[in-house]
Amino acid sequence: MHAEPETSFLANLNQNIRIVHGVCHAYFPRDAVEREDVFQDIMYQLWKSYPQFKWESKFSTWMYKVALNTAITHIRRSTRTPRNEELTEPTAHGPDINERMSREEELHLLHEAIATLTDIDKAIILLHLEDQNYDEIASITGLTRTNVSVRLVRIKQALKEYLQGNQ
Amino acid sequence: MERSNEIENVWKEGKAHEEGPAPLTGKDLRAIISSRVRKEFKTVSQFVWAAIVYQIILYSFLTHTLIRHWGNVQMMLLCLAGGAFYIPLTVALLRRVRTLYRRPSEAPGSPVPDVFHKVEGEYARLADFFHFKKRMDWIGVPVSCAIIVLVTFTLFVQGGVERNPLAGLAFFALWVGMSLSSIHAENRKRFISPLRNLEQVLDDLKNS
Repeated sequence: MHAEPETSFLANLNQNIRIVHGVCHAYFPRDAVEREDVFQDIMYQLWKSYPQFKWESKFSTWMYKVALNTAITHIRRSTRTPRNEELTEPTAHGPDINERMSREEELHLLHEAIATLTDIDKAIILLHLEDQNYDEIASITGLTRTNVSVRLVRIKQALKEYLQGNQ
Repeated sequence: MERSNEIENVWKEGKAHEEGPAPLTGKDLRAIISSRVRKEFKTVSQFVWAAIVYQIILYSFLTHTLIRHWGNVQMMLLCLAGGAFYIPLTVALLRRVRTLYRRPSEAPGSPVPDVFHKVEGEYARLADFFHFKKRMDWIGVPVSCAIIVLVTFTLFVQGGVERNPLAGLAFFALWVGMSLSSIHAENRKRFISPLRNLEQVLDDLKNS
């Protein structure tokens, strides 16, 4: 990649880099080494695919496709034994400690709940929580719009049950 | 935690208070790319070497025996037959390995597939290679073992296989058994278990 495309790639990438971190965290919540490995893998695939990206979809949609494809296939290639680290306990700083603790604990619990889902359900809920609409979720996953909406109801129900059972 | 429409709220409120990830610089990106290129090359070459190492040993053995026993017509024919049998298999294997590791995104102008098509493609490529490899193993392993047994007995055992059929058969069975057991372990690690994982993802996508 030449200097100019690299600059534009980096600018677009950095605007949406949260997507890659979100995918890595959803698929490898308990293993920081594996998370870093898949992060680099996604970056490499994005960099390789960027010259073919024609701006026919949103940059973020394209990024989700590449990131999810890479994360899901990375799972089957991985030869590492999962380390099953505990999810990082939330830490609190600042004046509103109680409020912040509670928010972080809730998010922590939600991450744990998402980790129990299947690979495809993880992708669907992650895309939904990141404000992708049904059509975008359908185009990224290859499911139909109806399937996405039906599955989302089931996934949310499963997450609620997990949260209720673990509170 | 309130339970009305809280999943989205928990996510948004939690994420709003999380520190944003550090931006990636050009230097970071280049470091990632070069490390990945090395890793990709290593993975492919490791597999290629693992797949053809047995054949390299076989070719070396046949070439060495052919040169050493130049003039011995029976031995020469055995070695040449072994080589002629294996060369097409090696070529086919290398072609299939190249197809297996060629990523669809590398083709110029190809769009990024959705998750379903990506997983389906990965599954098809891996299953196709595994099917080819199984066929090749079933033909190649007994034939190469037979060549090794025939050449070894002709060279080192008085009377050859003709006068020691039971010992020849036992040696052949031992060699085939060892090869098949290591092939089975390798297949489980590189093909059976990854194919099962992909199948689960595909089933999950199809059963929605």
